[in-house]
Amino acid sequence: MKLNFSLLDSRIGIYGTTNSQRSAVVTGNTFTAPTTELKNAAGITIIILNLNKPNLVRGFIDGFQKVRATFLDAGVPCELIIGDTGSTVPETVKLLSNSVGGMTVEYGMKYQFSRCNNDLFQKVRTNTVLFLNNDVLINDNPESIKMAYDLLHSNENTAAVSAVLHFENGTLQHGGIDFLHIPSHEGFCYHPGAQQPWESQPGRSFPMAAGTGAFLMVRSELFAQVGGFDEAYQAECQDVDLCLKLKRLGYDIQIGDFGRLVHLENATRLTGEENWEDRSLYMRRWSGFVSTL
Amino acid sequence: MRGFGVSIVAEELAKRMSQFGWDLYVGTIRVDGNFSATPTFLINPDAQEILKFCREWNIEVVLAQTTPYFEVLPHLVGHIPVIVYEHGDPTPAFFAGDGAERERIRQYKIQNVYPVANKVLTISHFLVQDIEWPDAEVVFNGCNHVPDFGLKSGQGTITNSRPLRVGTLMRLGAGEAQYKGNALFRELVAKLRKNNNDIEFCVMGRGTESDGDEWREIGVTPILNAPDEAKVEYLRGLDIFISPSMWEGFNLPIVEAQALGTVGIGFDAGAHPETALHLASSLDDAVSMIEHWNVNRQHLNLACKRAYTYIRSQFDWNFTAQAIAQQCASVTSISVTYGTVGAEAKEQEANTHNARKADEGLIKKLVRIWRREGVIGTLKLVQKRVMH
Repeated sequence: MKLNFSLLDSRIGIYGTTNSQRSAVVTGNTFTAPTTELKNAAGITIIILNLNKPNLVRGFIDGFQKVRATFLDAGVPCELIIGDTGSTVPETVKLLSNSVGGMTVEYGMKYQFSRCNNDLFQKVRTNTVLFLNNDVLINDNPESIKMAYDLLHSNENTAAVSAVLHFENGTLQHGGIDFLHIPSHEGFCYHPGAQQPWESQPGRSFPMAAGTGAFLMVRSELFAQVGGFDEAYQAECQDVDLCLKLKRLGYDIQIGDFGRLVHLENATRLTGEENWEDRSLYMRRWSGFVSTL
Repeated sequence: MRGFGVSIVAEELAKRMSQFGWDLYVGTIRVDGNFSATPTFLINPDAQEILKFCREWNIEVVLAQTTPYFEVLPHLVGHIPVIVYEHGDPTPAFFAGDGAERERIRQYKIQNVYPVANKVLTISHFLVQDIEWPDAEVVFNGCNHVPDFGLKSGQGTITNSRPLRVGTLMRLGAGEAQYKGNALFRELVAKLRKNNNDIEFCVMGRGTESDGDEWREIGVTPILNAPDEAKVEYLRGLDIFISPSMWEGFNLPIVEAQALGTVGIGFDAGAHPETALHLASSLDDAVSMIEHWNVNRQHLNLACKRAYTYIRSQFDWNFTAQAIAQQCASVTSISVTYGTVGAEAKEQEANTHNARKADEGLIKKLVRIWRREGVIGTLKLVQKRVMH
């Protein structure tokens, strides 16, 4: 497999902040304390953040209803919480205002991936939570979420499950996250096999150290225990950080192949969109640890 | 010797440098009983005295490890190659009393010492940034000065049959309390107690009985002024070592704990990202790990194994000694005059220089070069000197 190192450069300096700034963060205790309410009722809550995009909204609401049916057939509650980060497109506003069983919408959110998801998590009452991007086309594969749920609960040492995701052309978008082992960038994360053909074997799963936040199912109790997504990350690496916190405790992360499941994300992040502070923070926190995995 | 760490570094290098062709002579302003591996000389931080010593012992490179020797280095430049081997200074803002003086010392080094030194070395990448000297090169410390007992297995396996033992090692007096995170450790203890965790807490370090009383009052067992052997036993006997320190240039204790098979948690401050495998981003992050491992000892054993394996593979004094030897070799092309500073020294310098050519020190030096460079390398150097 050929690795693309084009995104790596000297800006990944792990000490971008001074010691005073770093120690202030530690002692300032900025952690968002999760709700102390028990989240042990069997069931799943799906959390999706959204801004406009009526076509996607229509798709995931329709998809959710199919997903919910598969769960209810098995006697498992299934809910959807949509975090709206300021939609103004009338069609989206209308779709979100429709009454759909098991669906609630939280309005007025200001987008920051970690903070929004952590805030919405406070409303979760089920023992399982799925953080899902609005551009993962669950409407085309509603069984995938029940398969992920079953995989998560098939082994008590599994803390989280992510899914094999595809581009529309059938190539691999996500099959787990791995880490570079080269001296200058030890521990930097990447998507192995991305944009390569993927021979799907639905039902197969395999362990990886981390999975994408585009489809990340986690045991609620553990999500709360590790403090949720770290809000110090502004744009990137929150998902990998979360998985590694679970991994650090001693749990496993599984990637499940649930059949074709499309994620409409662009093939690569555009140059200039990288968040080097986030990458530096991630590298500082984790480059040592991931070398042990 | 300032602090435990610096003396360990000197001792371990003294033991190992000879295999890389260098003899290490240690000079210090005072000697304590814990340092015995090599002859140690009392040398004042005075340029004249240092140069005199260098001349007498045919020293080729001066490697300064701490203040006040750093401050002398500018006066040695031009007479002998000098290397700053920087172990760092805690962030001055942590010291209410003498913070300004600490900042002055820091700035003095940045402005007067690093620019003229032939090399600046640090013991972590963090320090490269912290001393504001981007050209500094990193030579990590080792961990194999502590015995290798392997993983905790058999009776040593951490089971649920007894309370978890969580401890730290710090200087207990008030002077360094802020940067050593004494208050943070207290807060950690309080949080873990509040959640009804069955945990024994202890703290080892230098301090007085009254320092110890402050810990006893909150149910933490203090172990005061213990010898090195007790430290090894203590670190091995803990289930979790936590360093609440807010600044560390390297942090030998957390490295030692992990090398002894005990998981070490350090906060995201100082050089901990390089030396603490389990890095806590906040107090709650540390609490989360400890609470989990308290109820899941299998996971704790896994964490200990990861920490032990990582640290033992990363930090080795043989690598350190080899790297220091290479750094010393890299500056030996700079001529040595052993010139003394001050007006009276010129005559003495000329006499010494001539005498040195003939004395047995030359043979000793050649042997050292031969061990370091091999036969061909030595011949090349000799040829170069002769031609010159």
